[in-house]
Amino acid sequence: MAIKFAALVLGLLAISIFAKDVTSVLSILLFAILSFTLIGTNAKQIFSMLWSLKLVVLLVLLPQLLFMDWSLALVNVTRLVACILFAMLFTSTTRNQEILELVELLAKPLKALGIRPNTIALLVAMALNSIALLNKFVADIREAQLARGMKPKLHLLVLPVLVLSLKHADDHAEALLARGVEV
Amino acid sequence: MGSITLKDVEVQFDGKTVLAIDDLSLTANTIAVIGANGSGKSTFARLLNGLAKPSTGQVLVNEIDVVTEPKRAVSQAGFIFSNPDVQIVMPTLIEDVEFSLRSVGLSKAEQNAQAMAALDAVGLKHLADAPAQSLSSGQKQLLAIAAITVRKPSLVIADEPTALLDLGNAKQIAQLLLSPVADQVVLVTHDMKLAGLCEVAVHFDQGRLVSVGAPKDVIARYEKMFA
Repeated sequence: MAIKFAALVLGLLAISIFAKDVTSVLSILLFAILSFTLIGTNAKQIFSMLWSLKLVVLLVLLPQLLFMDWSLALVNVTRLVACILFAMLFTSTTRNQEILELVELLAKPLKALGIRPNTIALLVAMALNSIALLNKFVADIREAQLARGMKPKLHLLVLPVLVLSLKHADDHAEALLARGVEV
Repeated sequence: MGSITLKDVEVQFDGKTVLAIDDLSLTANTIAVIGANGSGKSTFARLLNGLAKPSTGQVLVNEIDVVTEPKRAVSQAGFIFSNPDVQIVMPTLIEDVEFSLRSVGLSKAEQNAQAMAALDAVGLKHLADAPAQSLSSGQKQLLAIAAITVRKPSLVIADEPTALLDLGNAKQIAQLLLSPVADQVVLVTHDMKLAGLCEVAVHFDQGRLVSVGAPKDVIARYEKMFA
């Protein structure tokens, strides 16, 4: 796992430093996409994965188009997308538990500062877990607002989501204590 | 056989006594705890693994003082909450159950084998690699039971474990808990049918212990209060 992670980091560095023309970045992007097919990802899933990056692409591409040559902007954005795809490939072929063990390993130097590496790994695990939970909170609140005849709006979601999250954090902390977790 | 002993226990929050028990000793395998909302049942359950601390008195579980030996108390007692969402720590089922075994000193292969066996026991083995948050409430509660029982605690405390579940899921959880899943199982519940299946029932009212004994008698007295 550590070797796989080191390969990812070195690979991303190499892409960032050496891939400087349109042909090479497009080849790398194609290689990243083909790598996904090797792990059984179908064309539809690959397209939806790429589509999910649209906002990032726009945010990075638009300012660059204003201030630099379009081909350079294209190279930068393609390079970024390729790097993201490789990172996604790493996470989708690595069990969360292994990622957490890696986080724990990387956080070992923090022990000198009095920070427990397993606490950092636990925080990462909980953050991963919270994404789905936050989605559920948002869906529940939207439903509750619709049921009361309100039109769900983003600013009306913020406070209830925050309150629910804080309540969940309290309950979750208690559950962790009950499972013998020390932080 | 497990044992729970409380002597001269008083729990106070903000200077107000929320639970007071002079003397209580329980050795039955399955114990139901009943009472109205705010009667002190959950506080009693939380005393047993140190989630709540007594202001005075002594709480012994299998002769272990939960106040002076909190680590041992937590390691011998598993706690199941009514909301299964709060109990899930890891993203997938197998990882969540394995998480319970992290500090036990087993190899990765042993952790995986034991976690798989625990998931199998609750009928979730086929979903081992699925995201835990994608489960139904009943399945999440089953996952919580697997994550608790994989450590083979001598005491399992369940605080209204069927409160958020439909009839089928509630029945499955009840059967599983009362199989029993540990030497001693303490069930805090509003479900009188479930309480009736236990060996002993304990009734609290306004922070006081009202009665202890055969569920049939204790439940009858409790129901009389609302007749």
